[in-house]
Amino acid sequence: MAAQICTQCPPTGDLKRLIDGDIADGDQSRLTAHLDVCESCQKKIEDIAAGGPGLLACACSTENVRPERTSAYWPAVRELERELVKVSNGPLAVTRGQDEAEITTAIDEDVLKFLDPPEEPGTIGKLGRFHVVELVGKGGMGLVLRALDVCLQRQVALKVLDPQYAKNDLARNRFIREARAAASISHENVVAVHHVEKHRDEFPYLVMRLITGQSLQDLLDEKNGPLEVSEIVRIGQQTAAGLAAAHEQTLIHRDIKPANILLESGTGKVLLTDFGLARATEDAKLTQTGFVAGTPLYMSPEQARGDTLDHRSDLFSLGSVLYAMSTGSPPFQGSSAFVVLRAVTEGRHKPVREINPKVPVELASIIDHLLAKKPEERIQSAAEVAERLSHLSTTPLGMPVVRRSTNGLPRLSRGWWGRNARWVAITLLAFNGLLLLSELTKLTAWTVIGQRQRNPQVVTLADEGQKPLLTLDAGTGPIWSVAYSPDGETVATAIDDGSVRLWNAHTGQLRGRITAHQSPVWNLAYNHDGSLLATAGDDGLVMLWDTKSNREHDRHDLKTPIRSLAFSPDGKHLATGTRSGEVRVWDINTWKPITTTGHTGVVMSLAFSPDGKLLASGGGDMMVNIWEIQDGEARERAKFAGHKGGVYAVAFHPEENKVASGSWDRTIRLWDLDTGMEARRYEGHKEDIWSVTFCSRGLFLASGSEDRSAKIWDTSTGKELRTLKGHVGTIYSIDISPDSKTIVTGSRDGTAKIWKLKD
Amino acid sequence: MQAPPLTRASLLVRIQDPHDAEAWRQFFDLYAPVVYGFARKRGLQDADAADLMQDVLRSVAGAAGRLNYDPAKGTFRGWLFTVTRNKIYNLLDKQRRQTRGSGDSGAHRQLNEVPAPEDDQKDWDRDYERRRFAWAADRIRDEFQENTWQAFWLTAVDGQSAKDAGSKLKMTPGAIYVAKSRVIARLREEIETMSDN
Repeated sequence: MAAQICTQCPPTGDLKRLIDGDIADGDQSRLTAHLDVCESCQKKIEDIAAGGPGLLACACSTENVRPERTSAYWPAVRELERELVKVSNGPLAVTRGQDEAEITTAIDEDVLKFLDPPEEPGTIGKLGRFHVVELVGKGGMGLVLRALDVCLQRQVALKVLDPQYAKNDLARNRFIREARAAASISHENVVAVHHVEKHRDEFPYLVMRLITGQSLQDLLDEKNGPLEVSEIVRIGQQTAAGLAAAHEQTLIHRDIKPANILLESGTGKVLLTDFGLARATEDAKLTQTGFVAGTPLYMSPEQARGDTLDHRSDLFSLGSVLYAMSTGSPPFQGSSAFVVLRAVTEGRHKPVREINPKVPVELASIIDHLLAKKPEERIQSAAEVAERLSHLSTTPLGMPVVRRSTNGLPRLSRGWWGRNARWVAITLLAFNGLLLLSELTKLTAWTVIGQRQRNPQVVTLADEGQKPLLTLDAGTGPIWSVAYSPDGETVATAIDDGSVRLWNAHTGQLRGRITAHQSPVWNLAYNHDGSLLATAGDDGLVMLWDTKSNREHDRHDLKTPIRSLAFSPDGKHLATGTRSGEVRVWDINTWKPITTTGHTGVVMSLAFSPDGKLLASGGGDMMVNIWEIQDGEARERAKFAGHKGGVYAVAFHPEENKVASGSWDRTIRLWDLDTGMEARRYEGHKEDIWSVTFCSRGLFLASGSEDRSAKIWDTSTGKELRTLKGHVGTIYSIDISPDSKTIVTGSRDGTAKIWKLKD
Repeated sequence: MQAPPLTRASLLVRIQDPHDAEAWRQFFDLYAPVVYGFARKRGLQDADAADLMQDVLRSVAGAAGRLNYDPAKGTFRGWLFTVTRNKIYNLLDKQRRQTRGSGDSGAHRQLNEVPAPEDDQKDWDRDYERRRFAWAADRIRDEFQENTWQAFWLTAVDGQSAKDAGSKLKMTPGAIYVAKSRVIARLREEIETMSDN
């Protein structure tokens, strides 16, 4: 053996760089050669790497510390995981497979305790008015229940905060934040929240509709490869549209990934969901607490680094999703979260067209553009992405796919799902809880929460059509009720935050503000001469306000949420309708009630006839009831059945013996009290009708709907005369001015708008 | 090469977030075998040790998924040790009281062969560190080429000399040291992500 000359020992810094790989090839060879022979440097480099002797002292093979395969340890640990590991998940997960029996995850004791006792066979309990059928899944800190809304004859999904977190402030805040985030967006590609309710006044829960479908993640799993280009473009475009709606509300989703993109079965419509991690822009600094938020596979570099985020972070994630659809795997991969995040922040993704040449150049370019490491170099808005993708959907496509395996990592055979499936499963399982659930229960399609079919309309409405005269914007939450004062000078708005705001009806200026309730104010009503304003809220209180001073005149605690309110035309009586179906007519001075037997289910609307002798009520039980109020008694006069859904609004015709009702079933019906039959039907709204009112002579009637528009109809012919568009949320309440020249609409979007009515 | 800040958040911090399923799984993967192994060494049977392991970890997790541990009172490792040991001795005491009546001298003897308390701490620490090493090694293994990994394994774990390992893998001794050090450095990084501090 030739004598080897020991070169001079390199400085510590060089050895460090050698370990880090941060070194030129020539230097590396030189240093390695030195290490061939220099014992002291051999020790030194190990020391630098290990930071001391301790590390290597415990070197041992895994086998020595693992319990035997047959040990009771393994089932015990699995059980523990099932119990204690909270799956960070999307909103749902019922899997509807061949064996329905397998579906129900074990019903926890906790869930049962939390619900009211069951009243129907086949149900496990009751939550509010909903009959809970089963626990559908756990998502994050929430539980999802499938329930029956008997009043409205439909299935719903209820998302509840896991009862064990009810006292946990962090969890509660997050849950409520998620609810608010989801609720504030109104778009066909975003899963919508119908209501937020409270169980036993403590536990918040969301009511959403149950529909069937699968997530994009499921689809990708099934395909195990790229999707068809037309699919990629379609799904990408709708996702971008939904994202644009969220961004418009200044929300950053922060967890855009295939598991949170739902595909409705039948329509294939795309719905963006799970705003559990969403934050308003101002909040984005929360990441510094060290919590891992979101899945690493689709995270943006700034998210990975814990920097402040803006909406462009979601765009990166959108790019990753497009990449995954185009190639079959996410752009940045690794065997552990750490490695993935390093790749996200520093690695280059393999060009899309190298993996799937079928992808058009423009699409690949959009993806590259979105995956730029620096936010300022990306496409700057989701709307623009949607636009560019929509151009692609008209171009013909066509070559067969040549499937190539990804060879980013050593040892991967069949692309992402090769030998490293175990690692992938672990990484994905954590951040894509849906996969976990599917794995556990081995089911394929699952039930998602979504909103009923929406008419395709982008949030920003077309500019054609009538514009409002005024927009009254307090910006503090949905407006549940609006009313003109009898002198036509003031418009009162009842708001979700418990306040009532009073506006000058002609100038739109804020005139006054009443802190009326500690809960949403569902209704308000002026008495006949405008001297009193009555308000009723979820807190069970009826408040009477002196309108000259805006001070409290009187209050009454009905101890149960009040959902509808009406003043008699002579101002002597006030009618209230509750969630539990009671309708009471109170004498304003003595507060003695006349009680009716009421409805089954919530009383959503009340109206007195012009002569004050009749009271109409509409309820969740789909009925319109007419009562005769006389001598301190209420007698049932008529019952109108026919609506196919809850009746949300009732109004008497000012001159004829007729009553109009508006319903969940999207129709308004005019009932004739003399014949007892339906006289006319008004169809045209695309969603639930929340409010109905007549003009002063009854020649036309107006309606407000969940489709965000108000319509004016010719009462006698049923013809739709006009549509008022401009709101970006459900219109819950409308009122026509006493002189019938203007109409005010109050909406979920937090604004009230005043429009000109032609006569 | 700067690590993403998320790895700065130690496992113990991360499991405070019930959303972080991955952190919880890692947590169990890491600590459950230590608790179980220790229980076995102290004489518990397989099933009892598994039950005890569940018991300990449940009480660790606490009802609302928040870690029931006060950093002011010492290291997590130490705290976990105390909880585990107390439960084991409670269980053993109970069993001892039961067998005393049964006159089963075999079981009686075994239960009496309890090591001295000072040994407990040492055993625990050693088990803990070995588990941590193995767990971290498992996690990072796929980041390395086979040769690199073997260079590390054969020398650090199997105790072979750099020369022997080198001739087996067709690498020079220097290359073995470089490879080994790289793996060690990465290992150290990984261990730090779930360290006590």
